Amino acid sequence: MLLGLTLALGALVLLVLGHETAGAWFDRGNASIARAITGVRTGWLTSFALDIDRLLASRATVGILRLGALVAMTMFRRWRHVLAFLVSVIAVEAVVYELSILVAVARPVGVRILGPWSGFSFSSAPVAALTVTLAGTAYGLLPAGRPRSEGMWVAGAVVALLGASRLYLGLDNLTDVIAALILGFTIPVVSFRFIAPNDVFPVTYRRARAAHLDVTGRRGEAIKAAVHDQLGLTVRDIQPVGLAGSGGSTPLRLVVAEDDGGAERRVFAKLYAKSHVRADRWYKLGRTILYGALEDEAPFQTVRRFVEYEDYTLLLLRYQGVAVPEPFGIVEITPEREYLIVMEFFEGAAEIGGAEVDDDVIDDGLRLVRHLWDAGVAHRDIKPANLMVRDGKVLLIDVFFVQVRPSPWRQAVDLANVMLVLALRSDAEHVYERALLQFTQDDIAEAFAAARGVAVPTQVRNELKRDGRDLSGRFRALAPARKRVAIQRWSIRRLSVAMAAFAAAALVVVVVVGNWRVIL
Amino acid sequence: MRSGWPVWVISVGVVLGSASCGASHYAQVSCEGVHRQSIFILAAEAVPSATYIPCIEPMPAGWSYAGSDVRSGSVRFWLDSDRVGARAIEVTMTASCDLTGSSESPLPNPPSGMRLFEQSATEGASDVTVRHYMFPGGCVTTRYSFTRSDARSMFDEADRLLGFTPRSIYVDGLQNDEGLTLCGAGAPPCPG
Repeated sequence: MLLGLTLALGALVLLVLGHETAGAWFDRGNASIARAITGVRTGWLTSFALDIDRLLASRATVGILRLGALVAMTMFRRWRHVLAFLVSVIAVEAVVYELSILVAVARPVGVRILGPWSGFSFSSAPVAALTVTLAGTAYGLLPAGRPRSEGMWVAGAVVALLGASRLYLGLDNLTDVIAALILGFTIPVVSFRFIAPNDVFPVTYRRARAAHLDVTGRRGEAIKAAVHDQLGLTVRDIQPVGLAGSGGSTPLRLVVAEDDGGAERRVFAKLYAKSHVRADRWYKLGRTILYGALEDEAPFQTVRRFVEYEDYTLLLLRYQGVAVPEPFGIVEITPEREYLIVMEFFEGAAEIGGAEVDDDVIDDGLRLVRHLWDAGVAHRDIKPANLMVRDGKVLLIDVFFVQVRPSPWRQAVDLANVMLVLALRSDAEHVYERALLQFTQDDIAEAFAAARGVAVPTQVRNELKRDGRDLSGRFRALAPARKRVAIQRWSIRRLSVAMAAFAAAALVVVVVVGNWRVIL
Repeated sequence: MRSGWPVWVISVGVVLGSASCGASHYAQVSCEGVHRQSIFILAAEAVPSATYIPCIEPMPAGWSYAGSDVRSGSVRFWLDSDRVGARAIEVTMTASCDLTGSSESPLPNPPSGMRLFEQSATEGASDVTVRHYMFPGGCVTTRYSFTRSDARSMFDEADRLLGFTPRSIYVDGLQNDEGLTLCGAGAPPCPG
């Protein structure tokens, strides 16, 4: 692919430089070809070519195709694909226009020109416009692999028909059509690869979260090979697991066997990729804009740091005696791009949302938070998907958000969230009563004064809505009255970031609206 | 490494860079050094029957070339004036033009076969002057957004801005330089 793009762009540069430095030679070559092609003109073929040109070179046709593609991408909420499509279209239109001015090639000479044309000839604006539209549509709407490949062949056939018609009619030179095809195909390919890479934002028509990577095919094979080489484990099976409760990584359950012939067992793994680093950056930027510097909002810079940090938090919590999975190691899938952290799979454990929650479980869940408080850490993502129950014991998973020496506010939020999760499986009064065995009334009052809005994980909020009981209100009624803790933090940085984000968004909107006639 | 930023920089750059697409910035159709200017070849292809191609003489202070549009069947360019405003003069060449309401005016030292027809008209609330330069195979219409009575000195300046070059210059030039035929008036018949 890269070689193809390089060759195509090299050819384009050669065409441009050739026209600039050896214009007469190109003119003569183009004229010879034009004479040869127009030499076969016949009545019916000319009518056919004129019809093809009228249909496919028309701005109305291109506009309808582009609008249709944009509407379809919007319906599937493929915003990155929409952006990539818009960037491709605007870039091709802009480059074609600028090249026409720079190279300033007249229409074919030595032959009678049939049909309408406008402006300089290099590169062919109608061919480029149709090509970028069809190629962008294929990339934005067709799944990678055979459907997209076939779509590109169809696109190629359609633009070839238009190009041939325009050559036959003497509307474009051969080099104009070649340059247009290069621009029309390479710019969307590059644009989509940069803005909506298929590995990270695949076009699928199955319901899947953007954060979850496809672990079949080449990636699956790479995972198996890397786990074998780096951990000495033979991977027999890879299954995505718990996708609904996970947005920042791709959680996997691996069936593995020791290389020395040990029995099969299951391990848990989390696959991190650059897309997760980007998502983390956007997530923290969004939080900064919406809430200010609520906590440490410094984003991670690399995938390697992601897995290093999770490995550290697992080791730290285990050292502190918290029931978290044992980490087995980090596996490098692609250097600096994709890493897998492998850890213990809690065999026989059930997610707390589906487990029986008795007094032992309630006490253990509360003890877990007490333990975190005493160890000076906060989990920061306590929700049903991250709490497992086995033999009456509560086990904690997904420690990626753990913070060392958190603010009292954050520790209070952990308490409120675990109480809400436990109350969802029992009732507020009972959980409150059990909590008083390990926490003071003031602790609980502060917890529910702090746990509002964004402080409560989305899954907990959804479960509360589904449950219907006002559990937060009930806890607040049981605990001593406490003024709510404001989570808005104002700073110069927050204002600057918010204004910059607003300005960037406004600029994009203004430019896209301003270029709407170019796009359509 | 923040790998995401180039994407956004490139995207925004491309989007911003495209903002100029709406205007036409072809090379000026200048009467000076006309031989082998691509814009003239293009203009000759646009109206192949025209035996003359309009051009702009050196402009006095206050006038500026503003844009052009060359397409099959017509050549159009326009000039701005710091006194009269945008598109003070618009020049359009077509194969023929409608002379209804125009009267012939004398043209000092006219190129061979060229005649001038002039009319005053009203567009919206303003008076404009429309001149038609008729010649074999073509017609150049100039539309001044002012009249002689409004601004006599401007009118005289504008009068001197429009020039003509014979198509044969380009036909011969292309033939002699590259052995190619610029189809249309003054050239041998083209195939197709």
